[in-house]
Amino acid sequence: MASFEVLKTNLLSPIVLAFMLGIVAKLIRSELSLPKDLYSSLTIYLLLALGLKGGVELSESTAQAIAWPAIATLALGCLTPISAYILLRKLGRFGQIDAAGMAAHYGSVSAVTFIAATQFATSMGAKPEGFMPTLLTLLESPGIHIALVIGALKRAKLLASTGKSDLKPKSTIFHEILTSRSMVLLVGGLLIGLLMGAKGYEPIKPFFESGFKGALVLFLLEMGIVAATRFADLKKVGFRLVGLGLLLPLLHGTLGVLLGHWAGLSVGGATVLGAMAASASYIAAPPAVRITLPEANPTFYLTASLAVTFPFNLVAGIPIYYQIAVWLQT
Amino acid sequence: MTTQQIELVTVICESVLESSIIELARSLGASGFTVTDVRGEGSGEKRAGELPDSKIKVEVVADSTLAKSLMAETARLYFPNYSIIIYSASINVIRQDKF
Repeated sequence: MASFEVLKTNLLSPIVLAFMLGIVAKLIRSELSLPKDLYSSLTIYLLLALGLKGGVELSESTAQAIAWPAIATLALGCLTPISAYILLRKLGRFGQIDAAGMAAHYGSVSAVTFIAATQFATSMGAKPEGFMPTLLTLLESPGIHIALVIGALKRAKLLASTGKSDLKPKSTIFHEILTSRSMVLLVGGLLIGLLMGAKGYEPIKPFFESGFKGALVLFLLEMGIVAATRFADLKKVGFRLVGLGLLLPLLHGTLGVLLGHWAGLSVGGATVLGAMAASASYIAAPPAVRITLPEANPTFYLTASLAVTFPFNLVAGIPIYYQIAVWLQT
Repeated sequence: MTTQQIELVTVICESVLESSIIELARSLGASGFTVTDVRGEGSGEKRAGELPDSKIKVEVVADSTLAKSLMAETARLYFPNYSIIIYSASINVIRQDKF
């Protein structure tokens, strides 16, 4: 399929269209927004469904098949926060703490981007490996931790010179990330899926599978509204951040597809790993960064991850990573 | 019915600070607290680091010593970097010994 056709297929998918509707609703100042509790419920439903299905498919995978992709994922988790930090410092000329705050977002992963990439690859006839949700959980935490450690070290120096004391012990932050809602649902779902297997999944399958895409459409509608709310901040953050918000996903995405390909993943699997590496977290990372690095400006990291990188990946990034994966395979 | 005068300290802040503020109030000797989700906007607004952007109101009933130390500590720790306001008011309660 020609690149243009791939892009068109993606643009006309219900989740991208719903995301755009959310943006339009905000731009025309509609009062539309999802109730906070529905947003939370949809997050829980999507993450648990993802974990359960991933766990069932993991129970049918061999340790051999997953070993190299898992190593590639961990390598990405360690590399991406560092590359993001260096580029944000050198090209973006951001301060150490702002750069570390943003690097935590780029090192971590957006579960919705992951789901969108999985849906896209499947619709292109390249179904990703069943153990991909397991890789998602592997990528969730190292990236945030590495970037936060960089930030905390820089910050400790800064505070030592001004004689201020720290706000919260680091162990509390690690506990909060590891026990965050998304980690508990994903890891818990994976374990339940692994233990119950396909037979146990059968009776709950209709609830978690037939509603999944519909729930995703509703969630993306809200994401569009939330992203558009940040558009006003684009002017404040300047073109450097917007440029880096496009460059980082392209760079990390390409790296992810390459590593995925070398690790033996299929076209679909490599596409999804690329999208995972390219994505920036906006659920787990923002509160962790807000507490650990209070001096980091939230407008920078929220705008970069929500108003630039997320829409870019959803609309153009995922088809690009897919195309790279196809080229590598042939 | 007799009432006694006591202080009500109110903190309105980004919801990421919820556990920190509660821990602080507890460590200073507060016997309880009330948390509510609230909406609004202030001057010099800094974007809250959470999605959806949310704010909370923490209320603590306290004697004047605790009220003063809670306000001073909160201001020292969180005023520099967070969207936060704090104020106190005199209120009348029944059963003062409860606080």
